[in-house]
Amino acid sequence: MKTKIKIKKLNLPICFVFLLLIVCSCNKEKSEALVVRPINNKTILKNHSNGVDYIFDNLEVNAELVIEDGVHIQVRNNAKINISSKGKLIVLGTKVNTVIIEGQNGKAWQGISIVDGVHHLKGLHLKNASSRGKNFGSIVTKGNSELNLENVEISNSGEGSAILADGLSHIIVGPGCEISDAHAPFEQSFASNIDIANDLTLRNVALECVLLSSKSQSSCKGVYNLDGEGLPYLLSGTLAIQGYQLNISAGAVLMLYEGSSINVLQRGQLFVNGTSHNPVQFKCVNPAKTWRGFYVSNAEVNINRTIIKNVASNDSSHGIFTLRNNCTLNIRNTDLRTNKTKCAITTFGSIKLNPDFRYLNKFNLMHALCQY
Amino acid sequence: MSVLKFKNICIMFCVTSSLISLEAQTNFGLGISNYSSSFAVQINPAEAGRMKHHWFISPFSINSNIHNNYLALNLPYSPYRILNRSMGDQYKDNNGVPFRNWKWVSRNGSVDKMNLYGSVRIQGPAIFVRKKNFAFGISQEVNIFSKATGVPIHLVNHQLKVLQEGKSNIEFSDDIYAQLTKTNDIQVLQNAYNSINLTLSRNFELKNDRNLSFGLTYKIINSLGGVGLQVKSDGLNLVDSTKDLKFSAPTVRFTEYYARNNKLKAHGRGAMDIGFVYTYRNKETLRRAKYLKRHTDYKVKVGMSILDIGNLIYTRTISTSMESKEDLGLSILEQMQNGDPQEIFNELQTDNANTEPNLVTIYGDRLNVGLPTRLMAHLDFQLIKRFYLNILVTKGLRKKSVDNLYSPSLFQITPRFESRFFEIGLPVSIREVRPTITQGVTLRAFNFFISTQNIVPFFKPKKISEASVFFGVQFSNLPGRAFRMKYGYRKFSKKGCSKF
Repeated sequence: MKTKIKIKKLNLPICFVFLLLIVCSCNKEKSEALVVRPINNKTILKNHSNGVDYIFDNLEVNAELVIEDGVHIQVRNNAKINISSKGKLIVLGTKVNTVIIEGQNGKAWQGISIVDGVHHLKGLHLKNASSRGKNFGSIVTKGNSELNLENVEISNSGEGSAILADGLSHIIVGPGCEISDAHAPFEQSFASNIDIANDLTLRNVALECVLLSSKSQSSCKGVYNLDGEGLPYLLSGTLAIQGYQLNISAGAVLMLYEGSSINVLQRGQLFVNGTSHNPVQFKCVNPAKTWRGFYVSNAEVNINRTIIKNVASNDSSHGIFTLRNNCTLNIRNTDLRTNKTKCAITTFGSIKLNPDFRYLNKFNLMHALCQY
Repeated sequence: MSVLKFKNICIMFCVTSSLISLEAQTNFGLGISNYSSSFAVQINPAEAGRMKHHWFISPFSINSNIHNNYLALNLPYSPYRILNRSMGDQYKDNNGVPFRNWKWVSRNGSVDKMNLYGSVRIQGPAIFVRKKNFAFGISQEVNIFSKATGVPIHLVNHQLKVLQEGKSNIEFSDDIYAQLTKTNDIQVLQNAYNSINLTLSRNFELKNDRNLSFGLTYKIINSLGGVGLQVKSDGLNLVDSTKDLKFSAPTVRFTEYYARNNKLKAHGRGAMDIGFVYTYRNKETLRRAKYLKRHTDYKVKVGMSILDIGNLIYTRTISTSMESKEDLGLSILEQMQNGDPQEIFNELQTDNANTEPNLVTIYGDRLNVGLPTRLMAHLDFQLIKRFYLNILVTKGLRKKSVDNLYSPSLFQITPRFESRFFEIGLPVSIREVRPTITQGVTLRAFNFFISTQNIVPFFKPKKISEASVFFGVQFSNLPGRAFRMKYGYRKFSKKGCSKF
């Protein structure tokens, strides 16, 4: 009897604790996210919860996608967002209500790939788009695409760049943009173009420069320009200017890796146009190391107001400029100090030269011209 | 109250209610019975304050109905045989499973658009407690609503043909193409929600032992999801008698409503029922029961309530809408005069191939689905001891739009007999969907309630265009001594509990 009474007395508190546990577990915040289907018609995503609003899983965007302010999107592990040639991406975030696109549970995803069209990203925070690794970007643009960024933050791009501009794409990095935790902020092909605003913030970025991709050089045709405003350029390897014209504007800084060179070949043309206040610079990315200089064959090189540093070669017949076959070299007002070659200019065969030897003779480290 | 006064009240009530166009949810006369407290509270929360019981618990009740104005069943056996498969063997296949015959489906030739409504309400558990003139209750319910209105009958016939022949590639008939030239507003909406209802009621004792009771039920709603579809078009309009006809291309909107995952967090303002009940007693019905310490009988009871004031709120929605960028034009008037409807439609498609529809999908839009707000008025009159006449009228207060739930309205007269352990009512109803008079029956035996608004098909299963059933269980401190002695409830003395 006493036992029965004790059990009865315990029943109520046990029930109460049990109910409390159920209520507490039920009350845990659950995700209200909706899974977004492939986009085949104009789609608008609105903010509808305090947490994650949408989940993307290898999303194909074949029409206009508008993401309104405050939307929070998670992308499944290793998934990507593909904007096709018919697609268009418009992000309408604000400084107060940013749009967030990140990997699910903090895991890496493949980023956004844009093939064509004009796209606008405002008030966006892109995170953890790093699963493709090196030589890729959190955002990859191709074809004739144009991408406008304003108040965009790209973080955790891992070993890749924040933005890879391939093909003939044009990236306009507007005010308020920030890039952090990336190998490099930008990577571009020659044909593409990146305009960078003055207030771009870089934090914890291994290379604070624009990587120039050497991948697509063989298919280059026409005229390409490297802008002098903004970040310095880093060539990913030997630059081959073959069959096209490359103009480098005043103020541009080109860095090269140790042992690489700039080869101007087969009707290629290089025009380097610095100014007295904004000379163009060519140097090694590691100031303690050296690169191999210019190799010109059946091509034309015009250099004015330029600083060339850190060139050295094991082959004594190579100079800062090594010229072969039919080529033209016009060089003016160029600083060739801190180079370790035997000659400034080395020629093999019939060469048209127009160097300012008086200028060149100032550099007592080397001979001005060596002819073989 | 004299017979003349009663007649006057009834006439006024009937005349007033007949002037109101009918559009709201069905209900049963059983709900107003003096012993059906949990169900009466569903119709009018003020009933809780004036109920006989000290407490009652309803573990379960279900109320379901479906009606339409176009299709009807002509069964060769009574519908109740479907439940236990007791129909003849000639109506079963080789495996003993009852088969269906499409010939049993008949059509109402006097309508050109089909309207269908259906609802299921499952309530329980419900617990109510009354202390003197206050009553408080808590209950839980799940509601499922469906409606399909304005559906052209040719489209329904086409779909039946697809089901009947088992083919999905049956071509549209000329009638369907011809329907495209007319004004259409097809609405299909299905939605469900569950709610926890908190009821508070207060009874005021007035002079001459009359009562006025007010009640309020607040519903904490959790939307469970649903779908909605609207197809709207203005048909074919003559722009200029000498040249052009304008075809107003349809606007289509399809919406998916998804339930929230965080169910315990309040979402929106919920819903509310409010009502009042006035009880009149004459000398004959004045009897204050010692056990209950209140008058339990009445001569006339009049009540009015507004139910389901509120909306279902959805934030997890996917809504796709299609609109043509411009109306389609047809410049060849002569062809229109003698042309085949299908050929005309094909030509419209060809001539206007460049007119692409504007298709937009919106995720996460905050959408409201209006609950079936309705006004209910009831009059309950005791003719002689234990015999009552109940008149119940409902009217919908919602607009007939695709974003609102509603059920067709009702006018119902129910004569009933009620006693401590047994009750029977015979509701006669007229409904908006298909304005025919139906005869139902309501039964209570001890703690169990069962009723239907259409009993005739059980005996004569022809032209069945609607079905409804109500079943519930309720336990309370009533009916009385026999009940208490059976269950060992000995708190009250013999004297205090003899009469109710």
